[in-house]
Amino acid sequence: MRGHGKTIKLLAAILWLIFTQAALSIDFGVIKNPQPNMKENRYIPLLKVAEIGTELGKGQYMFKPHSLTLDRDGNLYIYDNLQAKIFKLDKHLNLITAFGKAGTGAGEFSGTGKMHPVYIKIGRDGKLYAKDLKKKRVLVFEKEGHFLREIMYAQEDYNVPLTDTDGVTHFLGLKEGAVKITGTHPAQNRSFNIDRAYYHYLFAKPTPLRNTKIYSPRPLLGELHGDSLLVYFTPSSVMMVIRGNRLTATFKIWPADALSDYRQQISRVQEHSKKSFKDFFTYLIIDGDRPDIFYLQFGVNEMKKINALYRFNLKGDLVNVLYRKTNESSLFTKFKAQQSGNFYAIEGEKIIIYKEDLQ
Amino acid sequence: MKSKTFTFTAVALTVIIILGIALFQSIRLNQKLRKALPYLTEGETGQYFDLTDMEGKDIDLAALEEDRLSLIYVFSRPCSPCDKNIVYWKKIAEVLGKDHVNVYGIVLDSLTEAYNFAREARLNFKIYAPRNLEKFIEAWRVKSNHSQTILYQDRVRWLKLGEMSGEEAIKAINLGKRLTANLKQSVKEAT
Repeated sequence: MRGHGKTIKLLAAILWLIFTQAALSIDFGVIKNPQPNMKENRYIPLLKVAEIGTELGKGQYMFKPHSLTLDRDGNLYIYDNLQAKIFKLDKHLNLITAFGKAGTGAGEFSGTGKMHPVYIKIGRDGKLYAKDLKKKRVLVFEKEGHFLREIMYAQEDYNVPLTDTDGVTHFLGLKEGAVKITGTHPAQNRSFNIDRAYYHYLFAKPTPLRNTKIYSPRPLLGELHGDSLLVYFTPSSVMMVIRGNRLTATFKIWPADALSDYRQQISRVQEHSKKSFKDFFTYLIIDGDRPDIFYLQFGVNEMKKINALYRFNLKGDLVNVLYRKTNESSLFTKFKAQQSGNFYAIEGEKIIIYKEDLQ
Repeated sequence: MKSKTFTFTAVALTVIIILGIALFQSIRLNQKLRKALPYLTEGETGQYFDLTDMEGKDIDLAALEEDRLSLIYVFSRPCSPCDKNIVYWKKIAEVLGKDHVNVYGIVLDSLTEAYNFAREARLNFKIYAPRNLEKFIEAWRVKSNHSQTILYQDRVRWLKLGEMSGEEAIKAINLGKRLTANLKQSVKEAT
């Protein structure tokens, strides 16, 4: 019996080890192997209709455009990351004015270069918001470049701040498994608990679960659109639609061709590095003409051949796919805005404007 | 009265001679100091122009210097300031290239490696290597891992050592445009 006791203890220890290992390796709610839930039915090519190069006129030169935004009149604002300057162009692409400079003072951009970019956006109140990552502040300008004020924000807030028509500024961020929206007044703060799976990756490999914290949310993308706030989770490709204080819709965006291309890309990535991860959709763009349409860009920098813009409605239906024809020497296109039928993109050190080729 | 005039003339001559010697000495010192600098200064000439391209063909910059402005980027691999300047170099080359300014990238190490880099970085200017590296380094007073941006026409018109800023890039563009306009004007007047 004594001998049996030892055997039982040994078996118990083995079982304990097995269970512990099993418990440790459970992938809590990770969307491991998503299956397509929509199909790309129509591909529409995009045609280049205009280009903004280095010379802008009036002795101004654009070196490295990083972000851009449009106002309701069709004026285009471009932030040059090397000069810490904003260029304002009219709808015919003529330079109206240039403003901003590098520095840490009022109305100055502290971040230049790759590490600390500045993101600009015209708010619904018509003001220009420039998110200065280095100083964790948002600079607010009149559209002609007159500096108004600055707003500080917290570390965990993502994206350019969103503004309501009454000038209330909101920040969008992730905190403790919830999407939080912080207003300028505490009464405007809102929080939405979300499925933790949405924080995680589409595929089991590469996965951060084994080696990193369980909560390692990647930046989400959000935009005010009409009266809707869109929140896209890059790791799981899940979109949430929030209206006021209500979460009105949640849908998974897994188009068949995109998933297939992504799987190929991921397998290539795994060959080189087990830790690397590539976003499924990279950018969220709001349709400036139709309030019920948004776009997600498929492709990452390494996938230069794929420059596709997926068009969805607010119900989560895939309308069609726009794509840019590319060749070996093509640069990766970062689509940044859509308005008046034009798609504004940054390619290398230029801004390219595309239109749909409907013929 | 005569002796007074004589004394005045003698003193004046002595002062002039001393000043002349001092001036001569300071010019020589200045020249020495300039040569001691690790780069050319405005007004100096490079004097060594024998370059070779990827195919081993000879390129003689000298023939192009007289009536055209040249933009010369001296770099090597690896070189952190050179890498940071690439965006500016491409932009300056793009703008001044439209004004028919010659643009030369002169690399101080392997051309093969530089060509690979040029392809990756999508450089919009051609790359050459000095036929005799030592002579080039001596004539142009350059160093490996250093970046130089030079506007050259007969002599150095503008030079930036190391990493550039946006303002300096714009300065180079504006100066290049002005020099090209002056050249065009002088050609017009001559004809």
